[in-house]
Amino acid sequence: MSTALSIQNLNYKRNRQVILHDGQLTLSTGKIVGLLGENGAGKTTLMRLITGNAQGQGVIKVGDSSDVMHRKQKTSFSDHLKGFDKSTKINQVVKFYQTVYPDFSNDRYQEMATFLQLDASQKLTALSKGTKEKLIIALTLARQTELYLLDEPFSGIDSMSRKQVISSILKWTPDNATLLISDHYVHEIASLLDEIVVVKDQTIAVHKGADEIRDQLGVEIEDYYESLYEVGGAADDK
Amino acid sequence: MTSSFSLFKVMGQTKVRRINWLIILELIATVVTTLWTAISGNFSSVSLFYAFCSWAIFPYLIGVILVAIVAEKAYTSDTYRLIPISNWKFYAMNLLSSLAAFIYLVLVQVVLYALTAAIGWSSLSDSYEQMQLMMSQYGMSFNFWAAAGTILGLSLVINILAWSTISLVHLVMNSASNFLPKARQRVVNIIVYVIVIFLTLRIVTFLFGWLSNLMYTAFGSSNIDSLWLGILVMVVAIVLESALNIVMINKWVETNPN
Repeated sequence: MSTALSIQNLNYKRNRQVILHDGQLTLSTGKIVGLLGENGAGKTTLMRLITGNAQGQGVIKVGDSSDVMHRKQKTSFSDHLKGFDKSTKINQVVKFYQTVYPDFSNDRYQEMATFLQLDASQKLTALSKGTKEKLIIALTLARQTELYLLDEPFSGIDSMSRKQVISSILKWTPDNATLLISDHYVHEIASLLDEIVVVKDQTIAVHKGADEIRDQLGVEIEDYYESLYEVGGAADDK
Repeated sequence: MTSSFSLFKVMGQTKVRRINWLIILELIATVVTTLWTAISGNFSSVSLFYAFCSWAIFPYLIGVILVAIVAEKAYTSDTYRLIPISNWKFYAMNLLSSLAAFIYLVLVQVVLYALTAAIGWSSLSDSYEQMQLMMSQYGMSFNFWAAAGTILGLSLVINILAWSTISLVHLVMNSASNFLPKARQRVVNIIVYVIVIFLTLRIVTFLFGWLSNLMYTAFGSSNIDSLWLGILVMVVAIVLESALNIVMINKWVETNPN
């Protein structure tokens, strides 16, 4: 199995504050990986560093390329669409994606849009939080890339929307692609995951397989994750 | 990879959309002013032209600012910065699409000038003939197309310089956050603001002096070389600022988190 993402000696400061230090991580292709951590732990920052939209020190490779432009080409990140006017319609956003991403598949998008019941004529400002998340997921997964980064796709959405989003992720993520999905509520995504990565104490503290946690440690992912935050709990156990 | 043209297209569309709103507002203002003239009992065939002329300056001024805002947001927006294209192409397409949007505004304005002038031509033709007669009496040979072309070229270079300077200030402030704690960052921002205001005043003073020279050149005969020398200086400034901007985008400028 080849390497989808490798991170070596990653350090990142902002306003002279250390956000992440000594980050090391290697992900294989074809895995669904949960990126877990508390609010403000640095999950989104780690994703932005992978895309090259935040600039840290160290080596980040997507596939075999560390060049930022190639990383952007090989990575589909769940942009929250803040670059669009609120009056922009969904079909205009889709047109934008079709124009700037040569790997954007309109057929895949249309399938997902039908499944997720997205109305192309709706304006961004009229979308509920759940519908907006569905749109973001559909746009992100409609690109055909090696690595997908979904940044808190279940944040603030209802259980029905959450189920639809999970179904779309399972249905439309290509088999050979790697999916890194961040959340701070592990129970929402535990059933999806092959591996977990935990950002804690300003570094990548844990990287374990879901089966390893269940079989060798004999606990569920949720329990293992919670134990990391208990005093004297499992710590820094890569 | 994304082609430069694709990026130019999406960036241009966003800016042209803003310009269109501006033109709609200008047209509404022109119509309302003309209606008011009619209600006041002073309506003539040339009223629409005069009303349009009285509002025409605002789209230029506001348009330059609106386009600058859209352009600057692109540097710190994930929506744009996730696009797989090199940073220098990203910068160039951002600047070129701003220029294209401004040229679009100028062309629409020219068409609107022509349309409103055509409606009131019966009154305007007399004024135009009188002006030509007056100029010939004073020995001024007015080459309209040469003057219009020079003014257009000049205004485009001035706009590009304004946009690249705005980018320089914005990107310096964004880059500074990598190296300074938040409190000191505010101090740096204030210092940069003061320097920029000082430089802007100097540049505006220089440009006013220069424009008066231009008008003299356009209406009469003078040494036009100094005009082109000034344009050359501005082009060099644009190239230097752009080089600095691209270095900052490459090394330090980050997007705003989601």
